[in-house]
Amino acid sequence: MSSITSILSSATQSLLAETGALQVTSNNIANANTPGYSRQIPIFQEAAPTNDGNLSIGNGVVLEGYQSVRDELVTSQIQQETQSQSSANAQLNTLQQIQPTFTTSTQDIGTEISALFTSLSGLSTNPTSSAERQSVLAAGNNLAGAFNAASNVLTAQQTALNSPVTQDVSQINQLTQQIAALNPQIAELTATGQDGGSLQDQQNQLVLKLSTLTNVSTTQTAQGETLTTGNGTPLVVGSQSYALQTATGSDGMQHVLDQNGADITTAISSGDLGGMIQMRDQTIPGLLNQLDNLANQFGTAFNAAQAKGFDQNGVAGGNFFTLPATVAGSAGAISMAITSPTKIAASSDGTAGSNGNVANFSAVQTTVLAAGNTPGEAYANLVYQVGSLTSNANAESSATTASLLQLNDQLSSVSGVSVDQEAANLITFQTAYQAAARVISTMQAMFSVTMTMGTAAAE
Amino acid sequence: MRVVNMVPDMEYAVQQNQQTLSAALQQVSTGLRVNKPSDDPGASASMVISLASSANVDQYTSNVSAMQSQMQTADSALNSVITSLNTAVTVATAGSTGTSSAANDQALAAQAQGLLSNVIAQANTSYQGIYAFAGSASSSPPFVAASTTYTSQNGTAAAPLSTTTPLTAGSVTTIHDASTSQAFTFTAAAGDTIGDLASAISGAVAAGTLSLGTTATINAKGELAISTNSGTHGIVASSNDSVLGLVRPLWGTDVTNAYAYVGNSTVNNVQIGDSTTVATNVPGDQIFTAGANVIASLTGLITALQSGNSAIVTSSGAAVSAALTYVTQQRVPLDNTISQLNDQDSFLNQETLTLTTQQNALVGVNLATAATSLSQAELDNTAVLAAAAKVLPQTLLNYLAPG
Amino acid sequence: MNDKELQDHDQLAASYLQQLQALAFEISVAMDAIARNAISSFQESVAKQEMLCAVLANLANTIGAPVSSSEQLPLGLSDNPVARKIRATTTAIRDLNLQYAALLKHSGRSIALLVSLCRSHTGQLQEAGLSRSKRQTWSCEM
Repeated sequence: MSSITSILSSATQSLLAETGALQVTSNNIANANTPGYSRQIPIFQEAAPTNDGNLSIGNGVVLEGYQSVRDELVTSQIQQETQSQSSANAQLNTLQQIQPTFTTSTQDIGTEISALFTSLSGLSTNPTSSAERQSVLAAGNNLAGAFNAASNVLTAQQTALNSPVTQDVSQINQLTQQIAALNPQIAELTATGQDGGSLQDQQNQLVLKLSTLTNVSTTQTAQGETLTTGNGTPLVVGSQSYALQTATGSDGMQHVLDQNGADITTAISSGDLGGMIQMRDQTIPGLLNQLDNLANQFGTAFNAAQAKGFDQNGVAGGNFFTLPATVAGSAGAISMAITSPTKIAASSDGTAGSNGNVANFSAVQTTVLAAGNTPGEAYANLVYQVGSLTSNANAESSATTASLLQLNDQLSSVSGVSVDQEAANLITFQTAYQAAARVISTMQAMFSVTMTMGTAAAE
Repeated sequence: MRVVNMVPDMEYAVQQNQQTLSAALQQVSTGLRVNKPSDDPGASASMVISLASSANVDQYTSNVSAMQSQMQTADSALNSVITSLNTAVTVATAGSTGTSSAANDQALAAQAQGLLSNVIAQANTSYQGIYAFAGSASSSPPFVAASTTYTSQNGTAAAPLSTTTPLTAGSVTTIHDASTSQAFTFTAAAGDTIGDLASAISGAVAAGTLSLGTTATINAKGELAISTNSGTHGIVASSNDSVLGLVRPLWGTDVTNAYAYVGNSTVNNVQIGDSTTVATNVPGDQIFTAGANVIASLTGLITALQSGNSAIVTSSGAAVSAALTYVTQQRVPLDNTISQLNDQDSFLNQETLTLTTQQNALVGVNLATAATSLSQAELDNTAVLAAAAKVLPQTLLNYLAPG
Repeated sequence: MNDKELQDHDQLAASYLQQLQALAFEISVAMDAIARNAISSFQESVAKQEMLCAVLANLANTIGAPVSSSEQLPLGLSDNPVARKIRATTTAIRDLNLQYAALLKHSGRSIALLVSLCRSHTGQLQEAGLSRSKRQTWSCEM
């Protein structure tokens, strides 16, 4: 917020300096309260200014100046919201593909972890039963399979986000070329004091399309619109457009580079491209990391339990799961190390009928793993995260849609009143928003109250 | 005031309505309020934990059922043992009067023998292949008829084993003694020979683990022979050493009424609740050969009756009474466990109900409510589309018509 | 819990549900008002929301009083029809609230920008004749 305020006031400062400014009191704004005023009525636009030396003071000019700046601001906000909306939609799209993997119903990691523990409990009632041992093996295989599947879905989604990145960049380049081509034409018109007209509208539409793709900063200059992306990477300066490139990085992903080859991937923060990059380079790796930690720590704990006992033939237990050397990739690679049911180390004393070591396996269910949660909690966290991310992206998408509606209404509604009045209206909105924000916090607190309401207290 | 374009507003309203409609539809068709994590992330996470609890409770219920069967089998066996011991006391009383004839004494001895056979049969009771009183060595019968002599399969006159024959490192040779009711185990270290085994056995004899006179020698056939060298003491021997081959009883050396316990003392525990475990078995050496040794008391009674000495019969009768008291006491914890299992069963049923209710509360939907919501959403949908029709061009309305 | 207490409890729960449903409705009215820039509708709705929250907090305190049955699940998790509806409505409100909060965030930003624009325009702004481009030099960095 402070940047926009300071930029505006510095713009005002420079304007005053340019014209050798003097503060002049004026009743321009009061005169603007003419009934029936509408932007469409040319009279106001052409209102003759009062000339006094180098200064021009006049009603329509002031309002026109304010109005055009205001419309520029609203247009710019529309661009910003469009960027947010596209980013949210891109993220939502990927998250909806990922979500089915993190269910609570069947064949998901949580269910299979549970099944492994119950099959071991069943084995404890009859340690030499071949059927019970087979159940444990099957459960172990199912769990490894569930980990593999989840990992595959995440990495597949990640990989699938590469070609759209390339496509978006190519689209961006097409658009910037077109925008740059329009700049000199528009600049010529405005230099002679004319409105940019339909060319300006055309350019606005192109910039809006560009906003669906990436984060864009707009600066008005005498040469037309200057557009930058990322942390200041130029896209359009005057009649010149600067193309972005893509290249495969050392991580195997498509990176976005500026025209000099510098990597600006992490600076693309909004729009469709930004949303995809966020998912591909931040969100999915985050989920994969947690998944790999869970698989690795669970597998290691299980192998440790196996090592404490003896199998059906009295041999000390070997590994239950096979894990890769690094934590990364554990979920994708985890598999069963034992294939024969007799190798399950249920015995604590070497006799086939002892179930003493099963307790060590069961303990893993309630053990806090290195990541700080029990296995069930770790999976529940993943479910919660994926659900939250999806639900938030959904909310963001809806909210930006509604916000865009509001902004478009702002753009097309008339501000035929004084700046002060407009300010007063807006401040009324602000106050109402602040009150609304307080109510939201109250509502948030109420959710947990509702769930625990009526809890029995000890007599 | 310029007219604001109504189209975006209408589109927005229609879109919101469509979403409400499809959400209501899904709820009615699945019966679930939460069909995916984003519907309610908190509830979904809670479901993971709740479902895991349910799965455990189901397994505990299944464990309880399995344990109930196993314990009932063990309890019936003990019941039968107690009945036999009661009869044995009567038999002892009959034989201790001093007025019983020799023929009568023999008859009583035969009866006592039958009782012992029953007790052994009960001690070897099994349920679905699990021997109830064998500790964790539950795959084979715990009480085995003893013989005086066991010989190795390997060794011939031409190529005999000898005391210098090396044994396989790590091999285990076991001798269970029916008289001392103890077990001797020899684990061969690297470099050990048959001679070292023989020395160890002597050591065990000196310590009282094995009956006096028990030896390990090379017989005329070149085989290793482990023998009590007594007609009344019996052993059960085994070895997993390939140098010896299978160690089996010498034909014709079985000792009447002598049984060795070849199980162990391990107690298995099974979880029947989050913090509740029960012992699943009582080892045979705790019930039948410890304390007032049941088997020894019956064996003693048979011998006493066969001798016809009423004083000895009286004292062996007292031993049988003591054994009866002992077994009755041993039965108590078993009955307590059975009781505990029944109680746990009821508790687990209640837990299941609580968890199911909780899960339904988290993700379920009341179908009547969902159906009402659906009807309402459909009504709203019709109303919104009708309103839209008034402001939107025809072509756009066709696009927005419900599919 | 005796019958009278139970009956009162049920009535309170039904009342709670009604207020919750009203709150859910008000949130969607508010979102709609924001989108249409309808300030007075918005203010009305926020005022209603405030009142509803106060009523709900009060009710929650009363209902939250200790219940004698030790087997009763928390109202939010128990399985009777009213509790289920309360849960469904609470979830609807939570979802709406997410969107509502996001909308306030986005729109709030837009309004704040316009307000600061207004402030920078108090006092006079000169334009040096028609030859001067009407465009101001400014940049929008969010």
